[in-house]
Amino acid sequence: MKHRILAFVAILCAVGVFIAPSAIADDLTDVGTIAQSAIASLPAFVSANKQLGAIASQMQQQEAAQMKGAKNDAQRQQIQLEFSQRFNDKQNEILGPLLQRVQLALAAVSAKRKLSVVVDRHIVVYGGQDITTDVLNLVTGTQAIPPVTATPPPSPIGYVDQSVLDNGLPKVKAANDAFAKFAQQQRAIFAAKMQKATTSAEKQQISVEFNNVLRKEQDTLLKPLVSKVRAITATIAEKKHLLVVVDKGDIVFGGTDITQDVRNGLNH
Amino acid sequence: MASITRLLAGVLLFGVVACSHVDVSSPNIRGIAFVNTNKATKAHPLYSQLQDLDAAIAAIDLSAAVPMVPKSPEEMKADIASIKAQLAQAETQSSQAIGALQSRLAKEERTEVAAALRSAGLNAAAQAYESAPLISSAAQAQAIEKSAANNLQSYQKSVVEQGQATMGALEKRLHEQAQGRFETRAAQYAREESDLSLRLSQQDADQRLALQTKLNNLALDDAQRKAITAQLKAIDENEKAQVSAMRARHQRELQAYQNSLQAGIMKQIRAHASALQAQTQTQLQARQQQVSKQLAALSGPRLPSNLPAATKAQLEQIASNLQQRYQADLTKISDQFNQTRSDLEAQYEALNGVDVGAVGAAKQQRDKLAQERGDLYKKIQAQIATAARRIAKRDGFSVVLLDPIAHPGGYDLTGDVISSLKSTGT
Repeated sequence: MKHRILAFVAILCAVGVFIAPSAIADDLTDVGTIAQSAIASLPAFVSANKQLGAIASQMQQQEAAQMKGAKNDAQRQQIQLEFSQRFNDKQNEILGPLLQRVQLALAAVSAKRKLSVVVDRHIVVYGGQDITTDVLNLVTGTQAIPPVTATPPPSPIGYVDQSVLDNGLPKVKAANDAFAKFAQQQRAIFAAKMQKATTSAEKQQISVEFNNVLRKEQDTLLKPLVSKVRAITATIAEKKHLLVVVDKGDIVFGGTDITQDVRNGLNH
Repeated sequence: MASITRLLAGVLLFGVVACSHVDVSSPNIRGIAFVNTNKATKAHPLYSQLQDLDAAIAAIDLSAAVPMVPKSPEEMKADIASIKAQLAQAETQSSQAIGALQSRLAKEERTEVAAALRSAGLNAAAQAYESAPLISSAAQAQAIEKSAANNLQSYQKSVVEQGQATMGALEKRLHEQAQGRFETRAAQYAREESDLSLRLSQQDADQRLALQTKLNNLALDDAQRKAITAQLKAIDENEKAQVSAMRARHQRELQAYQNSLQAGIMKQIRAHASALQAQTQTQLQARQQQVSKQLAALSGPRLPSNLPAATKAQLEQIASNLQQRYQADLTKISDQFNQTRSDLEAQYEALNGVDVGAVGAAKQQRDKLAQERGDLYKKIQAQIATAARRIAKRDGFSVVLLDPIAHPGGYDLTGDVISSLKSTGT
């Protein structure tokens, strides 16, 4: 009897081990990866960026010249806004067609390989299908890339645009501003201490203290907000049956955008 | 019987171990794992070194943030002089380094070209080539020719500008002198006219008084009164006419004087211009001859015109290699000089109250630490990635991501990675 029970349990476990992966759920194999740096290194992008760099430098000089004539903060802000807009327009004009071609190539390769999401290579340490070469070949080819009509399948990898959350939420912005102000004040205080320090050991100790003070304030001001954002993100991700959520900057194609949901969650 | 029991126990043990291990294909994982690199980095055996480097960098940054105590004008002057001296020294060193580089490469080129000629059996040409004055490579010669032409051009420009400036100053001085003389003469004439007017007035005073006295006599009839008035008027007109005549003469003389002054100025300017032109011409010719001599020295030994194609190709290759090396070394020297200049400029700006952060030696130290920090961080990250890959492969994950914002699903490999780092050191 004892043998029978042991045999049954053992067989059950062994069978379970061998059949479980295929029986329970499909592993995620539709994740593509790409080295965005390789795309940025393409001569067309290098040249466009060089051109933009020259324009930016020229605009900065013009902006600085106009700033000298500004009489108040409102005028300065207006000038800054105008130049920022002009630069954005120029950026779209120069980089827009190139980026559009990359997006078409990404969509085409993703459709061919049945990928639901493509992420930047630097956040993947293992696995995923590397599509860098395929995309580069399409982008640098001479032929037009036909647009893919089908949208990518829903992905269990979600993403959040953290810059929107950082800049768009008054609480986050206020906390960031308060921390920046605190850091500036502390820098002045610790710089004065540093001036009195004579040995490198003393200097090192002061900088450690300085970092500790900043970290403590960061924990007080920012950590609760970060935790809250993460908790809300996790809750929404769970509701949407996502497995992981990454930053929008790491998503190159596809994925599930939950930025607005997280934003709404934080505002409530 | 006992063996069956042992076998079953073994199978059971395998099953239990397998059951307790992570099920990578469960619906909540689906082959996805992730690693929190921040946590893993903090647990890495080398993290304390990273912290030390961070603290050292922060110490330099904080030192740079210390408000500067205003310096006295003497201190400022001394500091500025020191910066200028350092810059001049850097320029000299840079020029010397370029000169040494040209000389070194020229020697190497001579040796290599001579060897190539010898290997082609052209011993006489090789010997002639070796014994000729030292030459630089074609690229260097071109660069030097270009530089010499530029120097000559800028010298010409400076000489011409200097001449123009001298002429401008001379013209101004001569005009000022002429104006002064003219004004002196005009003042003298004005005085003479005034003196004449006074003298005539005094000379006619008695007659004028007598006539005016007569005129006051009420017994005069109209005809007599008219005659006396006419006499008085005649005296006035006579005086006026004499003064006017003198003034007219003076004006003519002044005009003539002005003309003569202008002519004098023009004569002097022409004389000076002619001398200056001759001087400029001599200077330019001398410089041109000097440059020509220098360039002639650079033309170096001549290669035979009927070289075999293979030797020609070999020589071209030598020239090309040397040119590449020259460019590379020149860039290094130039970069080094630019770096020094940039540091010195930053120090100069700092002296003038511009906030430039860490400068000079502190900046170099900071850059070095930042480089070390970057290298160490990369090493730690690479070890974390290696450990993650090894575990992922072992456990059958399909994808491992770094630092997700949220992870309601997937498997957290961080603990396994940390254990691996601690146990293996990698």
